[in-house]
Amino acid sequence: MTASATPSGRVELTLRNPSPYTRGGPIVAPWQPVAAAGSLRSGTARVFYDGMGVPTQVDRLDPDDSSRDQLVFSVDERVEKSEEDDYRAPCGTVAVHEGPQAAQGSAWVEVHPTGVKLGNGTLQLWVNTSAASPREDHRDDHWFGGAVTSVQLHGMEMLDAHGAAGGYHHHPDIRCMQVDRVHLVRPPWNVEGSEDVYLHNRNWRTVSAHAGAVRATAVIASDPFRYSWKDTDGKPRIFDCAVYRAISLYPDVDWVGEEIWVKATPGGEGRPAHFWFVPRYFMMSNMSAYPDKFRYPDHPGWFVITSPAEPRQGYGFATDSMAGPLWHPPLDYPQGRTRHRSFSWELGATRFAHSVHIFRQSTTPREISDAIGLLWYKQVYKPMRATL
Amino acid sequence: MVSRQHASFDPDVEATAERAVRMLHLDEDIAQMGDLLLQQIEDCETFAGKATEAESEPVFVTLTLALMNNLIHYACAPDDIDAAAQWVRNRWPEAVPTQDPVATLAALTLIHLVDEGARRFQDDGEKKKTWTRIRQRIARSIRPRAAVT
Repeated sequence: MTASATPSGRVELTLRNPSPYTRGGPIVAPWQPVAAAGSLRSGTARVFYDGMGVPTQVDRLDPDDSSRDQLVFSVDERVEKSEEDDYRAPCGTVAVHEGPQAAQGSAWVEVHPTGVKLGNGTLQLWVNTSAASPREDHRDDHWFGGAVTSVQLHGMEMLDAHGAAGGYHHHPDIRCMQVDRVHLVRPPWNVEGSEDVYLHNRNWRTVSAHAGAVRATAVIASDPFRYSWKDTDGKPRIFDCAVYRAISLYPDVDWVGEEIWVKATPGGEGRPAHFWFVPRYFMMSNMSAYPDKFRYPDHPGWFVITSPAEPRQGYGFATDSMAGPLWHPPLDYPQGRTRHRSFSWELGATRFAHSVHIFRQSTTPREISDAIGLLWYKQVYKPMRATL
Repeated sequence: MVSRQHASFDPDVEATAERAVRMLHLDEDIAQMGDLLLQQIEDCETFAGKATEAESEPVFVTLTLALMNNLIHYACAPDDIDAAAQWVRNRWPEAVPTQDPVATLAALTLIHLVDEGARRFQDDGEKKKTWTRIRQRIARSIRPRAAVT
């Protein structure tokens, strides 16, 4: 770390661009170390790059866990390149000052009793926190916990684009970005083995919502569940756990950023830990009768699903946590006429999974693959960083 | 079954279209969304009617087949599409390309819906004219296999 001691109320951060070309865009850094180094106590900040203020916000993702606070700012496409493909070379500096939150950008968030709505002028999402269906006529269907049940791209519903194109009713089960299960692994000397925690039929809650100059973020958490394991001393350790998801929209883009973690509090109190876990995604979306799926077999970072029929909609997923096989339909999906619309995939073991979901109309496998591949590189695999 | 009294096309084509629609399990969707689907076909006819005489037929066929294609992808399961395509292929070996059976099934669905519209509006003066025109367009498009009766 290259700490820059500065007067109280100000701290310098070193920008790290791991790419062999000039870059710009959003940068996310842990807030607490920055605040401590600069004695920034107000919880708000302004970032200056070459003396010019840039869009900045501080997000308290989890008000009960300050280690998750994030400083978020966005810089122009002029952060110098690195000669090496890593984060060693400094590529510029920014100054962080205590200061009022900058004006909100075009991304927004609204909190509702049963979910959260996010929008940015291009995309609009409904994140369903209730396990019950968002539809009045399907309230008894309780498998929508934490699912995004509507994705509108330029006003068109992308989860049932063929229905939207024809002006038909949408299928009541459409949803995407649903973390329907997490897998937790106990140490090998625990006879209980590993555990699957199913989340689709649980209520989630909205933990926080932020709309700032750089992005809009909603954080949701699953209903808590108890998890125990035995340490090497043979004594049980009991944790109250919940799955947290920070879902972010940046202005005027057709993709959604996401971070997932499992917060584990020993005995329900004390300092939380963040467990290793394996999340599984579920999606039920009409991508035509014969969806095209594309990924490089040896590349676990991203994949795309497209419809070969008009309106040729596409979905792409990218992660830093190794996406496993894409199941279509999932092995545990019931028989029925919607099996071809159901998809699931598991990520690799992680403590913090960073992912991107992209939605496109009138696309091709090649075009959306290019887009998600670039997002994978820029947003989750080699994001720009700012360090003390 | 198709009502022969109001049949517009070759009965063999009509019966095949009806059977294909049933195999696609589209009959339930057509029962629920029939008004909307027929209105959309009428809208295509209105649009095609504004084109030149030489262009109006291809405009109508292109628009309506795109609608039917989308309807199949909206409502049908691939197993049903495969089964219906195989059945039609067995009946008319040369008619169904192996690459895209949806195109043929979309044409059969359109024939079925046009027949449905012609029967539904046979006593509605203004609409009857529209649906007679639509029926004639389709009948001309599928010649020589079917003939207007």
